[in-house]
Amino acid sequence: MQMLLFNMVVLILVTPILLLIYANKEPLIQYTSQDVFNGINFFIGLFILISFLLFVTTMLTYVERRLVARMQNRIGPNRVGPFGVLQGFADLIKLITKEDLIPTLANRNIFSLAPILIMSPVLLMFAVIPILPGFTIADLDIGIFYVVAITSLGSLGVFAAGWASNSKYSLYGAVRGVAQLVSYEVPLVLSICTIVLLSGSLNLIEIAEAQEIPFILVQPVAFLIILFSVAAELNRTPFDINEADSEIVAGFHTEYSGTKFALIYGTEYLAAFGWSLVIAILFFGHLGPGIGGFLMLMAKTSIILFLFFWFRGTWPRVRIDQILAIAWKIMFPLATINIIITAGEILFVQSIFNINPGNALGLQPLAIITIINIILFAGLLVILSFVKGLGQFDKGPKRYVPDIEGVN
Amino acid sequence: MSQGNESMNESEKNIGGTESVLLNLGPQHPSTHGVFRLRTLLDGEEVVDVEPILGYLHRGSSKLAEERSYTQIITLTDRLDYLAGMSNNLAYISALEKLTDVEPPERARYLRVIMVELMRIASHLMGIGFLINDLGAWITPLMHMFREREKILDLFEMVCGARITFSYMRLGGVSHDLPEGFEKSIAEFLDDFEKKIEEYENLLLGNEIILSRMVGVAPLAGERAINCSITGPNLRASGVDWDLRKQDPYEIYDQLDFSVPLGENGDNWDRMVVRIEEMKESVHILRQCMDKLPQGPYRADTDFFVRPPEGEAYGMVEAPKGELGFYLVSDGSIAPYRMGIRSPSFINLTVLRELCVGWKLADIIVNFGTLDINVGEVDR
Repeated sequence: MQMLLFNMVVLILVTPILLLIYANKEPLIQYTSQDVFNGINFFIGLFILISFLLFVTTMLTYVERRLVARMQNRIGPNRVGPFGVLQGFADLIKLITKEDLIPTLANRNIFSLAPILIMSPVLLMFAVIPILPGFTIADLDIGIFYVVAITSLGSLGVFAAGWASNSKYSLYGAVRGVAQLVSYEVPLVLSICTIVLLSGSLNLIEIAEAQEIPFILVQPVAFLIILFSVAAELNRTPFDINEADSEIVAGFHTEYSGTKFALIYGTEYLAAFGWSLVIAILFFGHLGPGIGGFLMLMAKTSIILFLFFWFRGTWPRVRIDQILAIAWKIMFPLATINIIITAGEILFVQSIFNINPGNALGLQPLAIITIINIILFAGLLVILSFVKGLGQFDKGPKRYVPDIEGVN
Repeated sequence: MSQGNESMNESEKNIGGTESVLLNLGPQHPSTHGVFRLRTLLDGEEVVDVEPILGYLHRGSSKLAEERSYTQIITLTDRLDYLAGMSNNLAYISALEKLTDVEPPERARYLRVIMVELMRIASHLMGIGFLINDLGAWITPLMHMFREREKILDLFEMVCGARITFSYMRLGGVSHDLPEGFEKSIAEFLDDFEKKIEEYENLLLGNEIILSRMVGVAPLAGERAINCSITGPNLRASGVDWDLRKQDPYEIYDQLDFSVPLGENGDNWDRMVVRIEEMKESVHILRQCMDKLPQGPYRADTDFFVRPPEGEAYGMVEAPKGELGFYLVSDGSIAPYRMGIRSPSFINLTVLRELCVGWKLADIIVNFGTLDINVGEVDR
């Protein structure tokens, strides 16, 4: 058993190196409908990708703990390996070798199935993401649509976990989680639509190539909406109400331990990595070639990941009614207005520059849209700075407060 | 506040055709500040009823006191509100000094006030830190508050060697005089701490999420607070100007210049801001005390096994969490015949149900956090 684990750790450490060796070669896999069984290359690619993801997940747990520790005047884990970099692997081994506990009154089958339901959509999401330029398991034309569709299945796993645990804390976490995940998908998808409008494609690689100007400058509002919607999708602060540790202990995964907990816990970081990659591809300009391009993409991803870690280290949590109100009363109208304005701008530049609908916009049309949008964004910030108490929608208890016996 | 077996009001169980959920917060829960249980009845996220269930940390302090000499009882008081041991010591000693008519020397009085005010800062730091932690800010604010508290505990360690359970106050004075270098250390701490308070204010008071979670949430009217016997910062947050340091000055508070910060609405926000303001006032008091600190003996000459005359006495001080009172009955022997404790944390809980009903589940934790109770003092 220990030998097996050791081999696993070595494998996880070695694979990123393999990945980098492959990075300079010609595109490994061009998975189209014609060559579904592209021989051994497909499995090598799959193996490399999944090993890389496991490596990243384990490392991210360490990175977050170190970063947040610095924000908290602590040192953080520094015992396992140089600077404690192997802490994530030590935790993983500990969790895997623990006893697999299932509560007596839990629904055993669904309880065991839920972590898989939570993890598999997130793994599937990476099929279309170009981690290396030209390296995708499936170069789908509906890439971003697929990402949104497949990750929304995760809420099913969250609810299954919460319901099957047969614990009130878990049930509360599950109910909160589903309400939140469903709400935040609306502004998220609407904001992604503006990017699709601008680039004229759903394919992630084509979206990246369409960015003559990085879309973060063209669409700052959509960037912020997507950033916070994703924070809500990932259950990260300030929207971590479904695993709020100070209220409902650990939410939907209160009863989980051992390997199952490792799956759920790892998925959080894997999903954070995946969504950060998507945001980096959607907003931070072209994908470069070779190892340089890969490292550049990782650097862009790290910026988003750092933002998520930073949120977690500093921000308090908002209440459930405030979370839903922010989604439906602020983000949803903002995203809708944004999509209308973007569509109008695109029609405008298309008529000026004589671009056929469906073709990618060039540099000059994008520059015009950028200037208009940045002015509008500045205006929005000025308006928001005058608004006090954005989150205060629900004032005062609705229920009659009964008198306390024995007082007065 | 009855024990847990009593059933909730039947008419409130079924609301709108749905059944309410009975949820036990505690005794093992991350944010009940100790082994404390809240039996809550919830309609979805909304709170229908809250019932604190006490006694998980009961140690029988007042009964134990009947078998110990008056000096030994000091160690028991340390363990009541373990975040404010000095204040507990002072409350007990003030009752004992009323019983025995011992007058402490002037220097001892100053030393006591210095220690108690340092303790107040430490206790409020913990209160605010845990409160923001309850709001969901992981533990970052708490760790920052711990940083300052450590410095205060270092000062205490310089003075009496202990960091939590001090047993510093004695009948007619204090156990140790100030060590060499204490004045320099405390001056450094105060200079540093004033900057840190500014930092906290910048970080906490402008945060939109904290504002939206706390402003206007769970208000408590001043009259209601008086009727529920609330004391301490919670009472002053409701706008009631009642501070024993002003109203019934003990030790040397009548010679010091300080103001009592008041809130307006008594909501969660006011309860937090009043504590921050009190820390500033404490710094002001500490500076005055260090300037005026007289030379002389730090302890009156008393017997170790003191035998007070028959009678009874009640001593009270403004502890960080409210009015802390000790009631001693003497039968002339070396141990008290009876000791009673008025602990502010316990009595402040009276109002918890009223604050929480009608708000959300997440607000219970915050309302509970702003009351700033200590389970060691609730259960005694």
